[in-house]
Amino acid sequence: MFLRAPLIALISIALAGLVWQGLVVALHVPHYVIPAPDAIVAAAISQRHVLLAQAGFTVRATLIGLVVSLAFALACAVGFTRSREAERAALPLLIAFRSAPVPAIAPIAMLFLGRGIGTSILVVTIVSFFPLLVNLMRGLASVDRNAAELFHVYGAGFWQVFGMLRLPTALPFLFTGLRIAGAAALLGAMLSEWITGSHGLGNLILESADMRETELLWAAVLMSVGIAMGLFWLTATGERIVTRGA
Amino acid sequence: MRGWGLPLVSAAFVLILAEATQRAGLLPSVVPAPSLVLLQAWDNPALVSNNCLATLGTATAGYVVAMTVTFAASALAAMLYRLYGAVYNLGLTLHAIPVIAATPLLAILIGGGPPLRVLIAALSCQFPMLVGMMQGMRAADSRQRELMHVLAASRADTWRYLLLPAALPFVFAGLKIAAPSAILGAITAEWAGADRGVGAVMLNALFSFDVAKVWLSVLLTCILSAGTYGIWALAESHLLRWKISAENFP
Amino acid sequence: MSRDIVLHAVSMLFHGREADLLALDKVDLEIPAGRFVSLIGPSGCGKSTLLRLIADILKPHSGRILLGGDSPRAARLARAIGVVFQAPTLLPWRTVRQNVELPLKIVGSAVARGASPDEMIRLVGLEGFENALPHELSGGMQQRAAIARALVLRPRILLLDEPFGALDEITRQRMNLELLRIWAESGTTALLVTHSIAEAVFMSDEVHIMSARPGRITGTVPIDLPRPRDLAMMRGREFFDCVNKVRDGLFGYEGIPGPVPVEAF
Repeated sequence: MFLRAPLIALISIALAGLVWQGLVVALHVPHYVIPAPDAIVAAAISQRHVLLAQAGFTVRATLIGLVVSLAFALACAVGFTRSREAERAALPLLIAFRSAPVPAIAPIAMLFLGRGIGTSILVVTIVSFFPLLVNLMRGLASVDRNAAELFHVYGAGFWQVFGMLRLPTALPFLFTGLRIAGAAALLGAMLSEWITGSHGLGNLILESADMRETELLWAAVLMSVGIAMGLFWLTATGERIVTRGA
Repeated sequence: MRGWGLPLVSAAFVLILAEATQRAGLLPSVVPAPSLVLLQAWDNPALVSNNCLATLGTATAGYVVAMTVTFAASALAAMLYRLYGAVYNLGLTLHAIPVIAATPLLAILIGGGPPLRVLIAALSCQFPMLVGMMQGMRAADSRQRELMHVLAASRADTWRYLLLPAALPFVFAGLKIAAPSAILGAITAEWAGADRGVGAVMLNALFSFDVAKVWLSVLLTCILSAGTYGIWALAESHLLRWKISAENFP
Repeated sequence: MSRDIVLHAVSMLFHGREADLLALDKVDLEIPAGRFVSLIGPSGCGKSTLLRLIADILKPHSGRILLGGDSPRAARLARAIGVVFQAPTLLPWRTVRQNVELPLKIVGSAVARGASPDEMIRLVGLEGFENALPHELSGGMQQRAAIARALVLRPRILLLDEPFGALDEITRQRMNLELLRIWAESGTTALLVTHSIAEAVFMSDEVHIMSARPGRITGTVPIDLPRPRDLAMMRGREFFDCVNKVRDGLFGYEGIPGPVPVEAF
């Protein structure tokens, strides 16, 4: 069941590849402009160590950043639900942070954490924090009024209401947030790699373009598309499993 | 203007706090004293103006290109309703291609010069414009259209009196949201190798570890993107008084 | 000045996803020039459709419609039709005066018979609000502006599609009196679509009763109350008789013994 969507995706990718190959060969497109898929696959296989290492770096930064961000967002959401004052105090700061764009965050992050994975993780954490927090807050606030009153009548404590009512209600919202955050996170990771210029798929894309290694460039771009689709599929699957259990 | 008071006061407070703690040696060296950043700008007015103008030029050119293309596309979609979905999906697909993938691929096709950066800026800001225009063209409701029909209004009059004014709020919203995207697109494109522009300053400063200059370039990025947004917001509040006051009406 | 409305065997078919819907089935209707006539019936009986056919917003599936001898299209192009919808449908970015002026702007100088917008605004009692934007007005005032707009070209036919349906009972009563006064001054033919029996009787020279599925005209009740009408008439025996006749036309006697109960109004 869960494998049907990826299967369809694989088949359509294969078809697109065939069309691409046919067009490039038939129109004699020079390989340094748009390489044929077989050349890209060949380059990907021959340079698989570089490709996988850099992709691994990017994926690691993305996933760690997402987890850290989720933990922060959950803590903030719980805090804000417990106390309106905390929300009112923190909100202006959060909004100010939110309007800061990635091209402004990344260089500051690099000043603090240097050219390693830390910068990527920090950028990912910041860019994925807001979609997660906003959707979590919306979810936690959208509890059924009557159900909340029922819990109140039974004398349930904050954590009981949170665990048995608020969190389950918020789960679909959380997954919406994760889907948005996932895409933003990967882009944030690659952009910070671009600016730090030492590791990751973002840097590989830039370097292979500079070296005119078009096949490797395309392999890296396609790899990042694959990672994005994988992330999306992972959240969608997680959502289906969790919402079915609820 | 009353809503500005608190943010301004807290911003001033943060700046003063940063200045004081930095002078007391309590902050890491990567956070410069705000006065140092401002001094950097004060000492090199040409640095600020030249690079801001370069980025603004790129962004404006891209913005105008995107505006022209999205206007043509949405007019086409308005006239030929069958193309509506296709136009929208094309815009969405282009929007989904990340700048970081588009820049090197396009660089191979059209070279790494100014046209590339203009194109990247255009690609970065086209989608909100397109959405605004396409929504706007459908904004007049069926009753209002019936009214124009009963009045036997010509096509031109229907556009003039109903369709365009009804579309304006959506078009404005799209143009407003798109403005910072064009700036950020231009700056990101400058990272890929430009000798002028805020993005170029940023990259050079990062690699020479010129902390104050990095912060200055970040500050300029924020000012440019917020400023272009602000200009549109200001124009909107003057031209669309009826909409704004309707929204604030209890 | 005013035009008569003649419908001959007008049928209207809507093509649905599963089945076609016969909205109007061979409707015959004659409204003499200068009269105030109502169409009443349950929701879904096609009374609004009928109005839209006369306004040339919809085209009939079969049958013929003549407005003072012209087709609806010709009458519309001659700007002989004014319409007031249930919602005021004012353009929110135009002030009251600009909204009332709109038809004049569209017609341009080609047709010079229009009234001055200020005159119309005075007629509907909106002096002092000429420069207000629609959202600053109450629902009743917005609908007055819509009426002024419909009248500014001095239409030969005024079509009213439940114009006060969204207003509260008290405002509605007041607006109805105003509308009668305005109608008497303008001398146009008026066709009112409503689902309030008392409103139909109070306003009209004639009430046409419609039934649903398919939409048909099942009866006509002439209203012989003197004009100008006033609220005191609503307490009279004649008014109740008319109301009962319309109700009987809508529901039948349904075996109610004794005097027929009267709708509280």
